[in-house]
Amino acid sequence: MSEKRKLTPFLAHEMLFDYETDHLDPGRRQAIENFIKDDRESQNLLDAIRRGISYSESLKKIELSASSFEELEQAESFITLSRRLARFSKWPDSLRWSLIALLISVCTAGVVVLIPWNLLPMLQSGPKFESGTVEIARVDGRKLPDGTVAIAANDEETDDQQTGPMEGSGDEEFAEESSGAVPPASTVAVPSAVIASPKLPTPAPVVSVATAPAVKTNAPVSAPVNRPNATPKPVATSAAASPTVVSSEKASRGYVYRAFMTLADLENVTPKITQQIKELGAEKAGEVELGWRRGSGRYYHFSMPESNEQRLLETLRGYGPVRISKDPHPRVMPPGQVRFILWVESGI
Amino acid sequence: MKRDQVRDIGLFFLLGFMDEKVALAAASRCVAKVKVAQESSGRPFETVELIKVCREAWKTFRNQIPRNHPLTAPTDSWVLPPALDISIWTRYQKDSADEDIMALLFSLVLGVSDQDLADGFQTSVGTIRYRLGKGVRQLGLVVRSQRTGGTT
Repeated sequence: MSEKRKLTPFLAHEMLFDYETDHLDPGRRQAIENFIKDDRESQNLLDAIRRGISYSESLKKIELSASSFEELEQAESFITLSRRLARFSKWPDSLRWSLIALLISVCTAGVVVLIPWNLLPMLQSGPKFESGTVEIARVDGRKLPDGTVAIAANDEETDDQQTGPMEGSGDEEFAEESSGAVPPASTVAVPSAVIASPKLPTPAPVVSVATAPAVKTNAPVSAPVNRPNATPKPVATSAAASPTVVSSEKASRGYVYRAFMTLADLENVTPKITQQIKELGAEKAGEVELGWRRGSGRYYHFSMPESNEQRLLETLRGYGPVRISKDPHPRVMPPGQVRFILWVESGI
Repeated sequence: MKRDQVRDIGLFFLLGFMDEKVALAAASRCVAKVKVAQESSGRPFETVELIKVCREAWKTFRNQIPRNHPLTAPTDSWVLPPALDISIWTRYQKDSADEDIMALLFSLVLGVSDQDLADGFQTSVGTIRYRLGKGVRQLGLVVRSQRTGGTT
């Protein structure tokens, strides 16, 4: 049996470590011992293994230096580091307050940039006109007996006695402009307060005429309208009635001249202008008389023979520069007649 | 985390790499991972898991050591016993395979059992025993040659 268990040098050499560390069964261990007695190389290898194990035991006595040990104990992974940094309360005071100050500055700057300061009414110093826009009159909505809100004059300088038929201005131009049948070249800014709604507040809406591209409005008519050659419109229409008006407006071939002047001596000049306009055959086209006082200006709405159109312009230019525009209008004047709307503003 | 664990990890990489900078970086990563694992699981880190973490870090940081790395020892990072000749280990570490060095360090220096080593290395106990025998024999030959003043 022992002959069968005889080891080869290779197997004996490979089992020397197990022999030395006592990991062999008794039979194998006896066989190794027998083999080592006669094999010089095995004895050398066993000696080397013993030296190696002995040296390894001495390696166990190595200790880390204090600095290395401290460095390893404070080692942090990205996760622990991010967790620690995420604690805002653990940040240095200087960094925390700097970030707070920076955050407040950014928020403040953002608010300042985002707020539309020019649209805030409290920050507007006075009445401002858009480019190419002139304010003709300020009207506000007054509550009618039937519950609707009507456009009415709201000027401090004018009252019923001064202006005659002031309710809704009495002028058809105002009615047309507020009805939505407005020429595209004019700007009519009528707030929703003029819509027939008894519960709405009544700020002072502005009706302005300008040569700039128009902004169409669907504000309904709230004042009585007298139209000799047009079908009467309802007194108070809803906003939904506007599409047909707009479509008919496109098909209209009528027009109106809108003139604007700024004169210094308005009190003395306007009677002369009124007189000369009348001499040229002008007749008032609205309810108000020629040269109707509105605030610091005078309002003329009249029709006249087309042949005197050039003379009228020359007359007006005699008093100062005239800005005039020919705007489309739903009303078609009879042949040979033209319609003018002149606004004379008091200025320096 | 226990101080012994920190010490074992540091010693493992210092002896394994014989490069102070790389060894401390690898050991720091392992210590940090063990901390995170212990905090998340709430239980002590097992030896097998420690072996896996160390082996993974070994593979990552081993390439940072240049091939012609001089035979030096990280003397600032450890305190050596007076009778220990660290140059023997330096020669052995330079000429041996990584798996043999790791097995020897874990088993004979840090006292890890063969079964834990086999589980950590995902191999058999026999393979671990073979690597240990080979490594110890090689180390012993270096020791003997160093003492006699010759080379192996």
